[in-house]
Amino acid sequence: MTAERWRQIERVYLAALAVDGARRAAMLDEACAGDADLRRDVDTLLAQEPRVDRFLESRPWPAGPAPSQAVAEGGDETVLAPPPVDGAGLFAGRYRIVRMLGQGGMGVVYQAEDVRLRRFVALKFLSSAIAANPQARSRFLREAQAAASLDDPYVCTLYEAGEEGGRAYLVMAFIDGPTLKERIARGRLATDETLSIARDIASGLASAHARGVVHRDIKPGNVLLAAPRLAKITDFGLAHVEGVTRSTGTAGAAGTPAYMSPEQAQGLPTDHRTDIWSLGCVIYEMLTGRSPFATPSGQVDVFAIVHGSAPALTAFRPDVPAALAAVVDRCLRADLRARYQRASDLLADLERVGAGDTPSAARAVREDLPSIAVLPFADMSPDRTQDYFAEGMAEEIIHALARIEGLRVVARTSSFAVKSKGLDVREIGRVLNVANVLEGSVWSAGSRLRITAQLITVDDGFHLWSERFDREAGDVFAIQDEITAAIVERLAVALHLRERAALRKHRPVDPEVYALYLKGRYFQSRVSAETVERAFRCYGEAVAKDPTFAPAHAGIAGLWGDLAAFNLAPPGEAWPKAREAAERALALDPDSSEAHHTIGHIALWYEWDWTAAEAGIARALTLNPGDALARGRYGWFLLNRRRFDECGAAIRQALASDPLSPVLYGFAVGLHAACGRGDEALSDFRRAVDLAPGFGLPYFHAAIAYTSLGRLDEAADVVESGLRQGLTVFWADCILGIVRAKQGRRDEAAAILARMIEQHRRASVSCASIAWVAANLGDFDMAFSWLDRGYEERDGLMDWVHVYTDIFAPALARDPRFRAVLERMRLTDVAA
Amino acid sequence: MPLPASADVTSLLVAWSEGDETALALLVPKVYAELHRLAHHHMRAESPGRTLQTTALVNEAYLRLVDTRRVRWQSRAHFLGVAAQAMRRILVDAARARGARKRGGTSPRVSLDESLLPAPERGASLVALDDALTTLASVDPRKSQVVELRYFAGLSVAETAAVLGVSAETVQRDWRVAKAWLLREVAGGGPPG
Repeated sequence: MTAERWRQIERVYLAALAVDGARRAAMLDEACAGDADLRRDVDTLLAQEPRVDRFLESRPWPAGPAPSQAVAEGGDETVLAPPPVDGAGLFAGRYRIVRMLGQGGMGVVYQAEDVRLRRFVALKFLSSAIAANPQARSRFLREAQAAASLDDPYVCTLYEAGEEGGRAYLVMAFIDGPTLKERIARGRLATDETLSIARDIASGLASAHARGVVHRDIKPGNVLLAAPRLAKITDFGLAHVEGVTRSTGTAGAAGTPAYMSPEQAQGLPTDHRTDIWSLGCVIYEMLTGRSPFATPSGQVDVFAIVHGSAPALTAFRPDVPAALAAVVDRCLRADLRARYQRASDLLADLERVGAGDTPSAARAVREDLPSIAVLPFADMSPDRTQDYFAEGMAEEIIHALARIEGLRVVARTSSFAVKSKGLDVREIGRVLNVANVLEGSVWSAGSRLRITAQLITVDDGFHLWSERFDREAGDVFAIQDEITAAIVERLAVALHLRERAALRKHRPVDPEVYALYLKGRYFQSRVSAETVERAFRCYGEAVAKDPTFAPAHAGIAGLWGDLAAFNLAPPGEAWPKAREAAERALALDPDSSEAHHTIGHIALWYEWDWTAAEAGIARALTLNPGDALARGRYGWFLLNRRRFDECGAAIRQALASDPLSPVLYGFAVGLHAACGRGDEALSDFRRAVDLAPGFGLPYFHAAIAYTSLGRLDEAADVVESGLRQGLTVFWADCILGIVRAKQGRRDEAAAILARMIEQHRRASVSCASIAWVAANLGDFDMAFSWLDRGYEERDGLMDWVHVYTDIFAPALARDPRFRAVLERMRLTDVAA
Repeated sequence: MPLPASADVTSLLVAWSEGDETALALLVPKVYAELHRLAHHHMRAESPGRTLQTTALVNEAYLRLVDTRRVRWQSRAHFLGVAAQAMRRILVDAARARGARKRGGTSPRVSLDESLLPAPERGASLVALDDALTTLASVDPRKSQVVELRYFAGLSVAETAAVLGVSAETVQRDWRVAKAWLLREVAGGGPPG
């Protein structure tokens, strides 16, 4: 049978399955007309129907009884036997057994009354193997001593450890409450409840670690809830006791090692950081109701553990603040050095999340804050020439509001994108995920200016506030201030003192200069060769009239940065011009967030000064927390640092404040692909294409995602369709060259390589991409010489040469010469 | 540059995921040996009441054989593909050994391999299944891979889809068609393929 014939049989068979009864016979008569062999083939396949469902559905292994019927782990007959009591019904002379509380991995626990101290205790019996083995026994006692030294409100106190009648036992504080495991089984926890319990556990761990005691088996079953929000850790130190230790990683183990750290799974030495990992798993499970490393079939995904790739928390629980998701991400780093190094650091970040502050790097997307989208104002002027001014009004208000921490403001691109869609207020609220909308109109003639504004609640269309301003053109700042003040007041936004001051910080400016500036913004936001030129002209005229007007200098700096980053101007010329303009802007206004952003952009893309890059972008984000583009750029910085989880959090956050921005979706595709989150990259790619099919960049990054997933045909297909949508041929060649070489189509790859080298002389073809194609063709000498050129020519892709070489040409990254490349790039600290 | 036969599993896995098909031929026997060893170990050591979980075996083999710091997360899919092939050979070899002994082969006692098999009749059908799968692979390799991953490596539909880089619906459909086809072959109810 040929493959072609088989496909024909399969097609008819599947079609027949889709219909039944008499219609099936008729359908087959038609489909197989004149081909008796085909008919016989399909009929005999259909004849298997009654047995197909059960066929091959059981394991090819001998099946034992279900694990639930198995004896409790570590359990043996003696553990399950009732505790030996004396004539007075007391165990060890002082404990009266009340009831059995439970049995599990570590043995059996009873509630008992200490008749001497007249209090309830928890009495736990451990495996008889411990009492029988002298070594294990002394170890057990040593661990128990260490655990007994812990005196902390979040640790279940250990009173006593001993042996009686060949049974090793522990006496602990009796906690009258469920385990966290039981609590989670009732349903996932709210964010604040989770935070409260997580803080308790982190605090208990911090105090134990300070005494050199590591738990090594943190899991929901080992956390007791003394009150709904008071957690206590139990079973300290026991995981380490010989004979009690759960066997990890063994096939068929009844207990699921879902909380074990990568180092535990691999049998490597462990320290206190293993507890931090496990607590990350517990927080994840409190929020989602599922363990981060459980597969749908109930197995533990050891692969995901050792590579630290838990599915994104927010995929199961989108309402979790990004800051909290970032904290969990940081607990779940396979690389010990990338994890929180101390439980106290983790605790500090959990407290910051609780207080609504920014933990270490990532700021929270706060769903509970008042939120607003400012729509572009309508141009009502008689000749409709004030479009730039109408947009400028809205943008200035967005800019002012975005600086306020207690308010969530949708960024410009997304706010303006809904304008053309003809949506009503309610739909706009849903698309942009906001509760309020500001809309308005502008009418201007000569020096006369009329502006109207309405603040509307999207739920009910209620006008919270509306106003009409009939003024002179020079009053435009005063009007903006009045509008922002009204919004802050009506939405009851809490302001910091410095924010209150910043809201009023306008220096007087000539209305004409200001109009030129707004025109510059208008053209800058519409990136094409022609509009860039017009934007330059407007900004240039503005600074010619008033050289002290900082925003126009910052605008020029931003324009040069965009041109350089997208390879639209020679980087060696454009970047220094960007720096010059940004420095001028900062000399005039040290708080220009846009200029700081550009300085960070230059440091990252061109100067390769990672410290300055972080400082510049972080400063921009502090000054203007709602700057989505700066946050997206921060993602690229984090990728350079291989801080993959934070990188994902940053781009998610950027998209939350600018949910309709094609550029940010392009960033998201690129960042997720480079971080090894191919599936996320591809789903963002679909969104990017929906928003702006003609935007080329995402196609390149989607191809990277396919390549890293090993789906080479699709990688080639997606750049082919990218080429039809404006993707530059150089970027397409990079992917095609690599893919064809990997597919063994060496002649094609070599032709592409030759073309890239030839074109490099005339255009800005990335040297690094030439190197990767050469490496895939086996020519490492050539690859290294192109990486050297990439360094010399300041090729923009060199920023991430460590990340992308791992994806495109891992063998090249393992060549000893690659070390020198990393050293030159000052990337050795983040090399894999 | 071809890799030497002595190359470790990690290097082979990296080479294969970079497209070096010769690495696969060297990988399978190494993974075979480790899975075989682990399966026997657990068959003997496990206390009664434990079930031998194929996926747990594969996970353990991965931890033992692969230096996870040197490979990317994507290597998991490649490893699962190799492991599925190796598991198939382990089981089928065991079934063939039993068949040979019954036909008067040399080994007088029940081998450990055979203890992996649940029942004699299952062993015979495994050999038939293996032959049928080989035939299927010649006309429709992906369907044969779906069966290897689902049946021999114990993967779910979603996991199989991830390994093969196709949609879950495709796996479902392939699985259904492949089963009907294999059932017909092993039952001898149809024309030769």
